[in-house]
Amino acid sequence: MPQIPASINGVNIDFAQSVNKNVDQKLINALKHCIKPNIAKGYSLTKIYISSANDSHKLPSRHVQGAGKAVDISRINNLKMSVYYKTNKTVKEVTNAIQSTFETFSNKRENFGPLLKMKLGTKHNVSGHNDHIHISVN
Amino acid sequence: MKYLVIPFMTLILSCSVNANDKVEKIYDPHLVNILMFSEMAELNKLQPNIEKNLWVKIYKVPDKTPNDCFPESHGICKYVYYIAVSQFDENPIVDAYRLGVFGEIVNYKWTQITELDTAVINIEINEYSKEAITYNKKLKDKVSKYKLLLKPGDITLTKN
Repeated sequence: MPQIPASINGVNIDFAQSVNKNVDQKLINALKHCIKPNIAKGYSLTKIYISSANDSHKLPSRHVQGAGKAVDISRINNLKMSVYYKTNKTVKEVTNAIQSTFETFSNKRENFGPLLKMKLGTKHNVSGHNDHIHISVN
Repeated sequence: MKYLVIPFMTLILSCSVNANDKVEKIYDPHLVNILMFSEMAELNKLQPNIEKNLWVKIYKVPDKTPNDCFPESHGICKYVYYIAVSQFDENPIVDAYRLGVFGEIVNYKWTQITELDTAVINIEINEYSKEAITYNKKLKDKVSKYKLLLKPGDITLTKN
């Protein structure tokens, strides 16, 4: 089964201890699509923190559906979204850019975070997700 | 004064404990029957080589309607079938339906499809329950084939 690598497009990835990195290839393709050093113009992305992948969830969550089709990203350049999204320009712009760019991915499904709450390309009412980005694929 | 306060406080505490202990009763007869008498089939565990786009569970509850399947005795001739369907998502669309009254569903077969949030399951239904057929040799069992098409918010059962 494909595994989320330690680096994508030159951006380092830290993982929570509980993370199962074995996921669906489409999810890795999604990360390659929206995790890039220059994803936000004028700001540098060097590291993300994945707090959950194919783990820690129960069905019907896509985290554990099939080969693992969802990932949670909760820190940008070592800074927690929960603390710094509103006060740190880099955290905000990079977070927003990841969410916006994911919307252009062909197999996008859920895209929940501080900027957007979208499902299959349309607005979706879901609570929470202000301290992390949850993205999933079809 | 203290002779009045102590009994009063005891009464207040007693009332509040009773209020917290109150357990909500469920009155929906469908739900009560499912919770108490149903057998559940988790269809996603079948045909593991086929990737499923929806989460599907079927519940069968003995049909209590009087029947002639068990002369000189009493038994389950048919079942009431319910179906619950969910998307795979954090905040999924979830629906439940009363599928109908059937003898017994004896076979489920998923179809490999690529359409999002859709499932096609071919099912075979006996006219009577297995117990009824075993008990009453006069019953002529007939197997009917159906196609179950599921989408969020909509299911159809079509006879093949």
